[in-house]
Amino acid sequence: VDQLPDETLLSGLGGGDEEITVAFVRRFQRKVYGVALSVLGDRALAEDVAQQAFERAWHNAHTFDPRRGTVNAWLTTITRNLAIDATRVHRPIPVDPDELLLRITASSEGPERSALAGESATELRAALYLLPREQARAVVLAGIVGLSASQVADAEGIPLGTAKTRIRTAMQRLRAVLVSEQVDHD
Amino acid sequence: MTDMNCEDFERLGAELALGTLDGRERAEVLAHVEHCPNCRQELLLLSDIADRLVELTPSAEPPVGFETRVLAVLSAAGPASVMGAALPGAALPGVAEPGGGPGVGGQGGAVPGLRVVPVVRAVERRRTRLVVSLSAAVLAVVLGLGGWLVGRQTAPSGSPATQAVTASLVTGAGRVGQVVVVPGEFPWISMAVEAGLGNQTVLCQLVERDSAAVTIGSFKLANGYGYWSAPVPASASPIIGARLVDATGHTIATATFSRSF
Repeated sequence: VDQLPDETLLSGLGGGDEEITVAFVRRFQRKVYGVALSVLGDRALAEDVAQQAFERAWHNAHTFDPRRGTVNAWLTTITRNLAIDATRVHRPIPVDPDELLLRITASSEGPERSALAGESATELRAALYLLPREQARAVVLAGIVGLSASQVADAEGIPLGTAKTRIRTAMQRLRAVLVSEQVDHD
Repeated sequence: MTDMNCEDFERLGAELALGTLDGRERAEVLAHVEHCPNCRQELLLLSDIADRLVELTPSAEPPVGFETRVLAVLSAAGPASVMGAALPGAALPGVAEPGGGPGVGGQGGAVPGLRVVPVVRAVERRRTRLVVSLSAAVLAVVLGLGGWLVGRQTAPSGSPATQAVTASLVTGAGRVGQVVVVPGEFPWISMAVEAGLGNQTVLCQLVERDSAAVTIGSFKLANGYGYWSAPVPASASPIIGARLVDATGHTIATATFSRSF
């Protein structure tokens, strides 16, 4: 079972197969919990959200469409959105973006997951820490923690226009790197 | 509703892709995107970046007993295929809405034994919900291109003169970092060193085709790690690479670009 593709495990999860459900949870629990912890910065809350994410995945396994992305991306999005919901109630002060950046840039997934992620994750990770620090902070607060530009401005103590510019410029720079990566691979 | 144009999209597209625009602006930008193929393509690209960004979040070891608790919850809840039919998302086959819906505590599918976090209904601005907001025609286009948000698509080719170039920063012992040059009206260069060069201040130089080197700045490395970014100054000769130079003037790492600027 441990050798089955992610999509097969997800199908089994939705079908109520006990052995596959165990394998699915074991395969993705570190990722799901890590995403929740990154957004929330609180272990107890992260555990609650991670648990909800598995439950949501289990309920909605039949809606997954492999043509539109990987199971990992699907599950990551579920978890992130649930975590952002939870921040609105439980954690009005966002996580420290420097700490999050450090965790992202120092991240080391297991060999299997790294191979699946391929070079694109490495390129994006590199591009992220190539950004000027203030832009990287802004785009992480918006893109991962889910803050609006106005909330980024408040968190960073900067004018709204500056926050918007930092987010926009960061995304354009990440875009430029990834377009280049795509062309190089073509 | 204000009619937005391509300039407005350029200003707000990144926030739209990141899912952080408020409802009014989001609706206005989407109304423009629906009728503008160029901005739609750009939104696809930005959304792809936004999704990849979230995927970068690192894994972490959950608390002891987490796996057991999750399995107990799933086991107690019964077959998913039955429960799922009554849940949000199930009514949208092909337009999956992963997460972001009402919290578990607000659903009929609440599970006995689950520690429920009260969750408020998310503001309708998640990028996963862009799909639901787009018209059927737009949706057909974006899905037809191979995916939306959590999918992957080929970037537009564009002009090579405006595309960024990445190059590995190498020493005799191998790769130690990466250099990115983004051409255009205001070209800039970024350099990241990941390991192998210790603690020191290094000069960053651009190498021109005639082998001349132009120092454009310096940055500090701490435990082999450091990154730096700066505008690229105008040069009379095409730039073919970059290099790092130590305090004694020795070149300690080089990068060669696949094309000159």
